[in-house]
Amino acid sequence: MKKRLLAGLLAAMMMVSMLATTAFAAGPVADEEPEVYSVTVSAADLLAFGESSMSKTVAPSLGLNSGSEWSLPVTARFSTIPTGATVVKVKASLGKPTSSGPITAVISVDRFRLTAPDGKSVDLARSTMASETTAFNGNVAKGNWQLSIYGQHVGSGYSAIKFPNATITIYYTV
Amino acid sequence: MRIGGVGSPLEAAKWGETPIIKKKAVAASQNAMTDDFVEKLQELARKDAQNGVYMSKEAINLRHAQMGKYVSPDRSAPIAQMSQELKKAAQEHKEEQDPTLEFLDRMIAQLKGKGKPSRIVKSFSGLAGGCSGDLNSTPESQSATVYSPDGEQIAHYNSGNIGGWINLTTRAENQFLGDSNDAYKQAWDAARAEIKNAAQKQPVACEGEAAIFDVRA
Repeated sequence: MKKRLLAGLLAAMMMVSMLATTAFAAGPVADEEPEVYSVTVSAADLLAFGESSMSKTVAPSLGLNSGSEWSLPVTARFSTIPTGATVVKVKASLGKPTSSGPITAVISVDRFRLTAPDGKSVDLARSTMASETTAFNGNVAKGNWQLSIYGQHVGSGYSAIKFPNATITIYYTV
Repeated sequence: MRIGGVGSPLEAAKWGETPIIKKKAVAASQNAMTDDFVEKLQELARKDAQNGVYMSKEAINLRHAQMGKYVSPDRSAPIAQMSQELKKAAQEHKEEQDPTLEFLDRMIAQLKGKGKPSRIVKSFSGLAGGCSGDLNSTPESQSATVYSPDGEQIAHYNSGNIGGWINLTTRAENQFLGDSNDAYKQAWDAARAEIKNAAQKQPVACEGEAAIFDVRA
C-alpha cells in the first residue's frame, strides 16, 4: 500500500515538474526583445570595387593674328563624382578641329593643358588618339577640371581654331 | 608622350623642362613642406576622412596659401609693368588711327621709304623680380607673356580672354601640389583604414539574435 502511494506520488511529482518546464528550445518568448547589433555602412564603401569613369565634352577655341598663345581655359564640371573619389587616370582628346579665316593663315596646336580642381596642371601632346596621364593620380576627382590649348599662328591674317568635341575622361576610385 | 618643339634651351625653359628649373622646383617644394604645414594638412585629412570627403576646400586653400608663401613667383609686379606696356602699345595704335596723324605718318614714311607698322612686337628684360616679358600688339588684339628669371612662362595675357591675364602653373608649383597631395592622401588613407577597422570590429550577431545592416547613402 505504502509502495503504491509512494509510486503514485512520485509519478505525480514528475508530471508536475514536466508541465512547469519552459520550452527554451522553441525560441525566445514573445515578450522578450532579441539582442540587436547594428552596423552602419556608407553606400560609397559598398561601391569600392574597381574604378569608375566619367566623361565631359568641352570646346576650347583660339583666335590669333600672330605669335603663340594659350587659349582661355574651358571648364568641365565633374560635380556628380562621389565626394571621396580620387583619380586613377585621366584621358583627354581634342578631337577634330574646325577653322575659320583666310587660307593664308592657320593655327597649329601641338599641346594642351589640363588643370585639376586643386590647381595642379599637366601639359599633354596633341595626337590622333586620346592622351593619357597618371600625373593626377591620387588627386581629388570631383570638381571643375579645365582645358586650354596652345596654338601658334602660321601665315598672315587672323585665323581661329576650335575643337568642338574635346573630351576629358576622369577614371576614379572611391 | 613627348611634346614637340622643346628642342632649344630657351624653348625648354619656357615649358619648365630644363634641369635647373626641375632641380629648383624640387628644392622649393621641399622648403615649403614645413612641419607645421604638414601637421595642419594631416589634421585636415583626418577630419575630411571622418566626413567622407577627399580634399575639402579648406585643405585646398591651406595648400594654396602655403604655395603662395613659399613657392609661387611674384606675378603681380611684372604683370602690372606689362599691363602698362600693353596700354602704351594700344595708345600707339590709336594715335596711328588719328586721320591727321595717319596722313602725316604716311607722308613721313614715304619720305623715309618705310611702311607704317601695324604690329608692335617688343621684349622686356629687367621686370620686377628679375622677370622678363614679351608683347605682341595689333589694333585688333594684344597678347603678352611674363617669364620667370629662369625663363619659365608664369603668366599670359590675351585680349580675347575675359579678365585678360591668366596664371600659368610653374614646375615648382606643380611639384608642391603633387607633394602636398601625397602627404594629404597618406594621412587620409590611414584615417579611412582606421574607421573601417573600427567598424569591422563590431561584435557579430550570435545564434538566436538578430543583426541589422543599415546602408546610408
